[in-house]
Amino acid sequence: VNRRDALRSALASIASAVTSVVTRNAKAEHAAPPKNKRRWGMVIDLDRCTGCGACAIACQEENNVPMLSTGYENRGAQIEWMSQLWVEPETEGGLPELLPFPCQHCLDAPCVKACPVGATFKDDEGLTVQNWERCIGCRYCMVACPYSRRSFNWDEPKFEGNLIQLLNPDVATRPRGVVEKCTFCSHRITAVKEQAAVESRPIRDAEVQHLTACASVCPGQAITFGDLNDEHSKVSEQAKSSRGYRLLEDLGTQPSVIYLKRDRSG
Amino acid sequence: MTDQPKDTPSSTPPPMGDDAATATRRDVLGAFGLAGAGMLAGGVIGHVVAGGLPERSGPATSVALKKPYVPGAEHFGSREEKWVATSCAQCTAGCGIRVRVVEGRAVRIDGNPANPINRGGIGPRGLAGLQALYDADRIPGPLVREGGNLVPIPWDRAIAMLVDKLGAARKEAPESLLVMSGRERGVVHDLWARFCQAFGTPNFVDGRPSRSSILAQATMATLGVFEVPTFDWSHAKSVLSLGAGLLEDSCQLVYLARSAADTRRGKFGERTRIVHAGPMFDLSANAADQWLRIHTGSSAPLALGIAHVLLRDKLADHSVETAPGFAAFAQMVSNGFSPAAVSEMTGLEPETIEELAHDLAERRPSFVYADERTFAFSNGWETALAVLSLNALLGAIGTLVHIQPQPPYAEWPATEVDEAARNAATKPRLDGAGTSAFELARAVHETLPDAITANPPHVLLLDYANPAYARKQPERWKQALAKVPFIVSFSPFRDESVETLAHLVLPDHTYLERWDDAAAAPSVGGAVAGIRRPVVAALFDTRSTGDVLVQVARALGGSIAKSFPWEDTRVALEARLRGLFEARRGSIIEAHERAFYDRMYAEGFWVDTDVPAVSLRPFVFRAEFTEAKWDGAEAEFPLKLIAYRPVGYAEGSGANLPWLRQLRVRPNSFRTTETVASIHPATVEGLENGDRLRVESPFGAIEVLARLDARMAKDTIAIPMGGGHEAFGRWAKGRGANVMRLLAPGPAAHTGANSLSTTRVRVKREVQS
Repeated sequence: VNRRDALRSALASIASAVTSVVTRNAKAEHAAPPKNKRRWGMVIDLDRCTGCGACAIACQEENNVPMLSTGYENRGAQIEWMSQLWVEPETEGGLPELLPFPCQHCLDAPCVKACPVGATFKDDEGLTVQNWERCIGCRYCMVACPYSRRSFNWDEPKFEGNLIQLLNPDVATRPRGVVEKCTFCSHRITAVKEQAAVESRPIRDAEVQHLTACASVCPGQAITFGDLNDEHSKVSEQAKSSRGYRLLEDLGTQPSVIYLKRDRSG
Repeated sequence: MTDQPKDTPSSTPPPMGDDAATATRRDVLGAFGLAGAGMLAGGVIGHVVAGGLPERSGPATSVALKKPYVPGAEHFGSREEKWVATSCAQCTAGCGIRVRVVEGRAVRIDGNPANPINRGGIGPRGLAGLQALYDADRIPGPLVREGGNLVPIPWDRAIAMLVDKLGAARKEAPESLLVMSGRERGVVHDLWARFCQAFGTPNFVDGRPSRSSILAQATMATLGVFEVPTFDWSHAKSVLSLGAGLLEDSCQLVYLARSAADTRRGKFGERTRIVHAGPMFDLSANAADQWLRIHTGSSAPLALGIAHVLLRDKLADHSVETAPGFAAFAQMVSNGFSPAAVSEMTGLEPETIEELAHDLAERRPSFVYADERTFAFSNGWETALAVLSLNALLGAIGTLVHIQPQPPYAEWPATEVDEAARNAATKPRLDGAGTSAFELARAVHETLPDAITANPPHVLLLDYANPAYARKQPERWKQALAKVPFIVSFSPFRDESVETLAHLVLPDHTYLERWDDAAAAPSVGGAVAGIRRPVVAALFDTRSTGDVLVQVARALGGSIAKSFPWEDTRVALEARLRGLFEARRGSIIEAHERAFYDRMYAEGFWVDTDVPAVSLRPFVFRAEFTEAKWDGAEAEFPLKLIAYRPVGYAEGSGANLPWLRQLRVRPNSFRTTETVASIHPATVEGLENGDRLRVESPFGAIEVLARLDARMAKDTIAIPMGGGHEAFGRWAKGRGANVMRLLAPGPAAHTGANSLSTTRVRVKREVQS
């Protein structure tokens, strides 16, 4: 028996079993995580943000986000996890606002509801995660996401020349035909958890405050990450600010990303 | 291997085909994660394993299951991982970085939290450094031009060829060697300067004219120090940025970003107020408390208008009244720069100017910040003088505006100079720096095309210099440089000068592969000495330019060889760092010299915050002012062109780093590889966002896409630099347009700097077919 054939048949036979496991998990997690669990969240203080875009590049570097091949750059299929969003002012004569713009990791995530195969689901710590290999590429989630924070791989990821060497070995690349998105650097969260487990201690807030790639490089330290359910964490402290708001809050998506608006009153 | 049956287990590593199969399997297994692993242990997969997995993959529950599939990672063995501290070189800021290296591959750049310049932050340019290292179109080894094509040549023959040419040139006339370097400071910069001195040529032209030249000269004229001052953000209560590239192209981006953030969301009630007065809505305007749009090129009159109010209302620091030149300066501002007059020149209301002045005076300590973007107009020199004078009136000089102290480097032994070198050193410089026209300039670029055409040097060495692209009117540079019989480029990338001009190419390592120091542009108060070290083995058959220089000097023999007593750059670097070791102060103190260097290489930098301030002579006022002038008749060319470095403009333009092309640093911008110009919607009838524009100046024409911005002045168009490469690798070539083609050639008056914004243009909408 050819090994490849054997693998294939084996996969087919377990696929249905796994599907039921994953979808069951996904359904169970539609609701908000209970208060005694962690809820990972992010505060982006726009008054500290200078708009340099380091967050967007750090994200691509950390998460092996592919670039479009030369010659395809202008065709609008760029994959974006973190990018920069300009919002025009509502008042005449006002100034626009520049927002670092990752997945909002909604508690009630429209993308999760739309996914027909349970490829994207809420994990028990509030992350909207996605099993790349389960994705069938229907892109319903992209339509559902009110923030357009999902991108489709129209082609195999290409890393031309030696660019393949700078791939982060901790993050799988995504194949052609699947949707991908920001994970709040879940591989870094895993690493912190493992380290804490090795040292038999709880995770410290200080070690996650700038955990995600975008937060770790930010020159203005505008991005804070942490557990929103821990009332002593820096992120939940900042989230209480009177400058805080969430994007499209009226949709009821309950985003886990809180923006603190720029103070131009000075 | 090939004659083994395919499914036979083998103890030797499988060939590529099997390897790929392993990868696929890992991929698939990884997909199911631990949930799947339980089932795998059950019988279902059992017969697959029996079906002949290579032994090295081990049981299906091995740790490899958890590892994600990453192309290329199947070749990992030990996954040995380390973080290497070094310094960034993507701009002149000298930020400390930590590079994550997994099995010899650099996979991540992070800021070094301990470094006082960037304190853990790192800018977009710095992050993109990995794409420079792993660029697909780097030069793999030395090249020589044969029959019009560049073909590989071994290093020893390439160096022998260079030594030959240099020897012949020196015999004839040592001053016939011209060295153009993009560097402004640091150990390799100084090795070049030393080489030129020992060789006997006065013609060492460094990178200052394109960046720090004007402010350094103005500081020399007013304070007696040829250097860019530092600004103490942490103690300022009010800051006025005068059209500066503060949070965009500033060479201190990361430092300033953190400073601006910290001083505004630091302690309660101590928010530093930042006002940005500039002609366009850029990131500095976006981050400021208040943005004031001023007429293009009117920073100098605004500074003098504020000075007028300070003096009129007796708000200026009293100590300046006895300063040399103060009377003439005071007279100039009181006669010509009343708020009403300045309102005319800047477009601000007279009350706004009064308010600005009073705010700066009342919220002291305060300072006025400006940089090369402020000085990019024809009156850059006068603007720099006005800015420094205003800071003197605010009492900021010596309190908030300092000269950064230098680390106590050991001096190299004096350069050996023989008879020939002594004689040649008295010859005039080709670029005219230091002559009456450019009295304080140390180097000038824009005089060179004419000077070279009239009197071509025999040998031209290009170190981090790409005049065939990066200078104004690049065709003019190409024509002039074509007259030089022997040109050597040290670029690691196939840039325009390599492709069209160089006879010999001796590619440098990138900054992640070589020993170097990171002599930072002044930013923090203390003395900082950063180092760069190889974080990965050299990818190609390249060599550090400093090392090549030492080899060439030694091969030339005589006094030149004696001037280079070090084996390579690293030894020359340590000969300097010895001073830090011997000072026994700062962040690293060690009993043994070797231990000191080892710690420095491990930590990446040395810093001493407790150093006495550089003492400055009393401020000298100079009553000089001219309005910004523009090349091109206003009737024919109605728009003023601002050419500027965008955020993603790394050294060498950064156009070959695709990550940097994706930044959206302007509202209403769109993703494109074309060059995007900012323009007011009313400038051209019916213009829409993304329309193609033909931009013409008296000197050239380019095509760009329009980004409509109602916040732009109606008489101005702003075009970023860095597009329109004709070479420089697959990501850069043929993308966008080079704004340098539009710019009026020639140096700025008095300073010899490469003023970017002195040209008028007209635009026409191109109808798309």
